[in-house]
Amino acid sequence: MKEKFLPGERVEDLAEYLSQRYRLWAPAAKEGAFVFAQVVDAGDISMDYSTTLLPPKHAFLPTAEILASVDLQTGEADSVRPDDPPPAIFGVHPCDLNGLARLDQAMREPPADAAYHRANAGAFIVGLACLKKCRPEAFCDSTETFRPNGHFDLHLTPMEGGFWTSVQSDAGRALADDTGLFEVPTDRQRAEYEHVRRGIETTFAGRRLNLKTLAADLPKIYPHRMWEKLAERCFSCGACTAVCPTCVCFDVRDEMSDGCRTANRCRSWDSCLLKDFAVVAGGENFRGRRAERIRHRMMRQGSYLARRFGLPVFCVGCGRCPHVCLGKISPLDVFEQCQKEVGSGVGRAA
Amino acid sequence: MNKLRVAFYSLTSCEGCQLAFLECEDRLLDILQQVEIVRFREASSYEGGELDADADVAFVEGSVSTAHDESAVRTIRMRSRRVVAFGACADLGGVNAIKNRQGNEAAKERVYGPYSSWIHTSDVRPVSAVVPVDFTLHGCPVDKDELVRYLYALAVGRKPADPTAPVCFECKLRENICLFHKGGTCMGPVVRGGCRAICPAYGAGCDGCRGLAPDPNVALMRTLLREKGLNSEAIRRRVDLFNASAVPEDLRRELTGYA
Repeated sequence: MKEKFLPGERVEDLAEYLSQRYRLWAPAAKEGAFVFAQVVDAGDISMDYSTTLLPPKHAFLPTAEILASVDLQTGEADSVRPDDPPPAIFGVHPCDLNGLARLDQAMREPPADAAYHRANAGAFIVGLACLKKCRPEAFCDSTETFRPNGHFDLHLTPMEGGFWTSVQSDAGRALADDTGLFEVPTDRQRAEYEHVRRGIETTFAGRRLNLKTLAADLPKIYPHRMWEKLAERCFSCGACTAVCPTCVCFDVRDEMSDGCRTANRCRSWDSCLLKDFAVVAGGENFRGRRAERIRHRMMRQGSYLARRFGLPVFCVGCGRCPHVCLGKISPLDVFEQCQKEVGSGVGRAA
Repeated sequence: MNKLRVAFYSLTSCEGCQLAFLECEDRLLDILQQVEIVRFREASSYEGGELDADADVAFVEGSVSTAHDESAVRTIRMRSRRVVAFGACADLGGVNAIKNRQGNEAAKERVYGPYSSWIHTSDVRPVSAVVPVDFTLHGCPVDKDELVRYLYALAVGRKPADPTAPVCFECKLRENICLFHKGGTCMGPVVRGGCRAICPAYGAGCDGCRGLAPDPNVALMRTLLREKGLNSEAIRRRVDLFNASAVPEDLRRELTGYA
């Protein structure tokens, strides 16, 4: 990995450079909150944002999209998206970098998702380090996702006078050289960066989970009355999955348009919390009860997909779901309770 | 291919759902390639009988609140292969059903005063309480895009999709800020969506015009509304706006806290 320094006053120029070559997604203010939006003017970017309402996942996996269209008169199918420039996502916090990496793992697992691949091809990701926790509900410290994971092209760490820039990919290196915006860091800057980096480690040192055993612990409490208790606080509304960086489930429906001249295969985000998510032919629902559905989400985030993809935990601790959950359900509390039940927890630091 | 023969009828309603269809202006010519409209009083100058047509699909707007409504909807059912409950009144009883909670005599007296004896009205019922309903288009008014999708699905012989995800889910996808976080209240967690959370998107809390979502956690809804200062009476009014007769009594009690 190469390292460079980006003077603070040039960060807008970097965004401007990206916006000329990519469809630029960046954090922007919306009614006192933040969203990842397609920005036209680099001046609209909020570098000092807490966290966004939705993670940047929708740059690659839109909330609703048409996967293929068939002209019913000619029988010709068209599954090629418009020839847009590839997306660049700018200013992605470490939790969301980890989220994008997990999304990528899930969508590339054979059979790889063709539409996701097309949306992702040639994408450019610029990470942005967090120096402090964005909100009390976040638990990226416990999931150890406060560090960038390598799933980026460039990663910016705010420090005095600008941004320490880690260059991860060939595309990142080429871009950094081409822009002419970056400087070779001085020894003083390197020392300052080391100081900032150590500060991040200290700030995010709290651990309420034992990540070594979490994925194995959760299935042990599959039959447990805690899920019924939890379901009392669950609307089963799917808000948690809608804002989740690592939820990848979708629904596919065929719909007509243009006076039934065209049939569209439409994909939209789905949620395992929804009552009819697990309904199969014949009307059978194998997760018909709220408790079964909220348990499934916790198992999936804490165990199933973690084990499948060789990770300690699939959840990235971004804190969005406990923030939007009106029943105040947090995966952190659930995981912690689980580890208390099976006796493997770390307990609260004294 | 024969066009789908479609009829629009209205019972007790504001006829705004039919208007929603007419507002699909840029798509009406496309739609008419697929469907033949055989009755649509609100949109035609036809002066003959309204209920004398056979249809493949009847879109019935409004609730049943009079003897005339009841006989009309029975006739419509007999002459139509499919019946769609069209909009909140037909689906739930809707706003009209507020009357059910006051008693017919009191309601008549309040509205018509000295002329109340001229009026004949019964308890408001949704269409499905009188005749079997094949499909339902929810909402007050119905969503135009959903209506067009419905028509196209029926035109090609498919069962229309009927999403059940609560308003909350769609609200999050729109990146709205939760009204509870803004100090407001909303029925979105327990109400059926499909509306793309249009009310919360414009700052108005959901009032439940699509009825309850499946498996609603009404106890938690009540707790939340109470925390925001709504007492039983305020919750009852909120529920009764569209769902005075649509929420089963046990859930209604749990939601409002009224014994």
